[in-house]
Amino acid sequence: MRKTERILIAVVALAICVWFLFPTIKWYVFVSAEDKALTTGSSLQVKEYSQGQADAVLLYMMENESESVPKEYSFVIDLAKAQAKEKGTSKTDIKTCSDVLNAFSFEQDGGLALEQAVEQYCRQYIQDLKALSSKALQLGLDLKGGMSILLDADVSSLEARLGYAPSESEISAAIEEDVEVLKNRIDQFGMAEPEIRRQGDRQILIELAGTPDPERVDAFLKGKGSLAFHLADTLTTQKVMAYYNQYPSEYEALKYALENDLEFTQPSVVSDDRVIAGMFETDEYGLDSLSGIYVIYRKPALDGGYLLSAEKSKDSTSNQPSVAVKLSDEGGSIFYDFTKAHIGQPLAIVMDGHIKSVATIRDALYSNVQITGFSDKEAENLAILLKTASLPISVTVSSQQTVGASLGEDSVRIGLKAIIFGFILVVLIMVVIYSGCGLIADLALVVNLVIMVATLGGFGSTLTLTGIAGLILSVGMAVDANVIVFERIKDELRAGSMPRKAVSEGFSKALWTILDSNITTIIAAVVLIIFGSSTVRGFATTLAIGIVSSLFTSLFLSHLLMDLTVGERISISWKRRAGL
Amino acid sequence: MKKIAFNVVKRRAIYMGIAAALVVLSLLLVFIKGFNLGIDFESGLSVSVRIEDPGVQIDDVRSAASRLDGVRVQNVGSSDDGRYQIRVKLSDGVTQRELEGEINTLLGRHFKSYTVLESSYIGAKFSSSLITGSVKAVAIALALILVYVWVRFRVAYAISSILALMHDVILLLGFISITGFEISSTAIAAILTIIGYSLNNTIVIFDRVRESIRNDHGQEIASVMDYGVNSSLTRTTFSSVTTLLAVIPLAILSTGDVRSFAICMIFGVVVGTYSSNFVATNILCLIGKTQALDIMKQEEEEDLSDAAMAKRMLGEEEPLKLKKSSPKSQKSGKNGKGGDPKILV
Repeated sequence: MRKTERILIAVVALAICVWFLFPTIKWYVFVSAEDKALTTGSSLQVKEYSQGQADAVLLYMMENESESVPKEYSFVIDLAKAQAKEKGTSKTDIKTCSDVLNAFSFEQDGGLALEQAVEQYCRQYIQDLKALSSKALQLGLDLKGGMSILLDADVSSLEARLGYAPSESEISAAIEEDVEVLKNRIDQFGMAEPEIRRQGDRQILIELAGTPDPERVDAFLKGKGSLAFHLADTLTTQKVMAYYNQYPSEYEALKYALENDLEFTQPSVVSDDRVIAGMFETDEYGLDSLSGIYVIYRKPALDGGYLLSAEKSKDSTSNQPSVAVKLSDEGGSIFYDFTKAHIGQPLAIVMDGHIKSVATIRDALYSNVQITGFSDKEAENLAILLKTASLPISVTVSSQQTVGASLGEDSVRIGLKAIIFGFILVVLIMVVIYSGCGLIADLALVVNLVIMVATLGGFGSTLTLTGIAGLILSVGMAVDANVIVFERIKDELRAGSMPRKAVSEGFSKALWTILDSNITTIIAAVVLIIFGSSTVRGFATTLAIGIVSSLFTSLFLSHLLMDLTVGERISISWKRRAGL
Repeated sequence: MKKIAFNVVKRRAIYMGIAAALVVLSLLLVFIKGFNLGIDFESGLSVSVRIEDPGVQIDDVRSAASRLDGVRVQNVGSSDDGRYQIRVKLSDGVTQRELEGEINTLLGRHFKSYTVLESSYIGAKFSSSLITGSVKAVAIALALILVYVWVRFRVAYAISSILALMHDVILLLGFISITGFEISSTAIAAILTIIGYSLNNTIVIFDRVRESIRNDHGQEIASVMDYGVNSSLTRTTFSSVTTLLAVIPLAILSTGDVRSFAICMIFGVVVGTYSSNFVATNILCLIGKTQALDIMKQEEEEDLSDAAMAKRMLGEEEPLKLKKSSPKSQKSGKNGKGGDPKILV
């Protein structure tokens, strides 16, 4: 390889690292603490924030019409400009609050369009922030505070459900499904962005940032899971709608009660064995929002306990999206009798008191039920919903760790201090021992640290307390390769080689020593990554990354820098004649 | 600077004696004193709290928590910090949530202001899987390393380095036992890191040993070992110093698990350095006499390919030809023939 090629490779490698490092820097330097808090909020919090912002903006614009738009709302100017452009109005210069209101035709809709635009902007803003945070190197729970729960899958529960001893692949699939189910429960339970992943063969790890409410966590693990099929009453529904058309204020009260799961009195047209239930759709935030009402029979035709599985599929004849539900044998026979008696009538799928869909019974159904009448997306959502009602394989809490936020902050401070101290000490001693060449080793060390942080961030891993320990250890060990090389170079110089020759001989003689000694450490680290518990894994990951990047910096980068700087003279020791 | 040179093999009675004595002592400690098994290894609940009330002593916390079955209260960090760890074994029929609630009630009744810093719950299954998992991890790591060194060097080197590593692990276990550090997953991490670190050292020395044997076949084995140790002495010292410099701030500044990790690392670096220089070499020397370290014909071919590979990997295109032995190795060769163990540069 020629020198120019090597320089090119070094520059490209560094550029890639800086590219991966960029989101991390952006996140920690340019994103405010409030904005960071927003990204960890639950969907409900995001919704409340966005709508609150929309209300606040509208109110401010109305109250301060003659004034110019304040700095904190400067994004509204851009929104107004875009709006004005779309409408094709001549006035695209937005300065004051009234300009904004005019751009959104406040006179016509009372600010609705403005509110919608602001809300959408806020939602997008938070989504972008979330995307950024996923690319930045995040702190682990032990550093920012939070709860981690390790769940053991209970294989006997799966065996009981299937009726035979499940194979290894069936267990594995069931655990995968568990993870999916838990992920889909996140929004229903207002959890703030938990990390849920499989660990090892039989375990699931859940990590929750902040200080989660223990009861909510319990509910999250158990699931609400009351899924049921109820017969719907179209005729009474029509009567009820007619009634509420006469009394709109009562309808508002009913809607409020349904949205908040409150008690309400039903109009007299609804007999006691029936009940008014709300139809709910999933909105842009992934939350349930009321879209209408339906009257259903109080007693369910079948509850979700009989459900074995639910998949999104296509109806074989009409090719329409559908949900294929599989019931247990017992459930199948109940359902068969029921559907046979009610062909042509509507059936409501009710989840925790919320109607998710209403479909018409077309045939007597046994254990395999096809539910049609939705869009592709709706079918998918329903399948997920039915699945999330219960875990395919039940779990028990194996271990649980909670770290308070204050302890986490302490750890970060101490960890950073230790890194900085250790780093400075190592940098100093390298210059003390090797003078000029020590500086090259120090430069390699800095690059090594950059590569490590960039790689950790790029892989989307989190930095834990033990990870910091691994980082510090890597700093100490990273200079080792340089020391080996420098000692070899000194040997060569003592033997009378010219500096350039000594450098090239030193590197080639040290190469296998360095590789051998580091590969053995990598072996230990990889074993830890595979077999260690999650705390140990964080440590081993940073150590492994540190070793690989130190191999690059010491064998490639330092070598290149030495070749570029060493000519007739070499500065590898403070003594007059190098190393002698 | 005066060159320090060790007569590693000549004084092997001392070096191996120290190592053997420490191994025996550590084993005694492990079997008699045993370990402070961390919460990771015992099923139960561990809650760490900071009590802000002035003048609270550990006995106050003990008496507050005394209603709980098999409770243990420990001071964490410096005593004026007000940080305590309360550990309770989980009895049958009590859920972890109930226990947590009970601890909270008891603390709330006795103290005005306290913060729960950390709480961990370990189920029975988890703790047993952790022990087997850790033992498995150490065993697999050792086996893989054995194979690697075997392939890269020869079997005698592999056996010697593994025995030296076992020396390190046993001493570290003894150290953990005597300090009363908790055996936690972080302690396992420390043990494995020291395995990696010590082996790192050993390999660097063995590399020199192998090089010396390749360059001159007729040397006495003792002088070869001495050469290996002494020629890498500067590097060994500097590497240990830099690693220690990086770890010491962590040991001073941090608390809890990470601190015990850092202290174990410091001890391990010292022990690992000792074993690489004086234990591994002497074992190699012992086995080497029977195992033949210098099956030379093959070695020479290997050497050629190694050197050529090194060149190629470093980007220096050099034709494949027999390397001239460097002046330094000729020198060591001369010394070797003289049979004088005090060689060197």
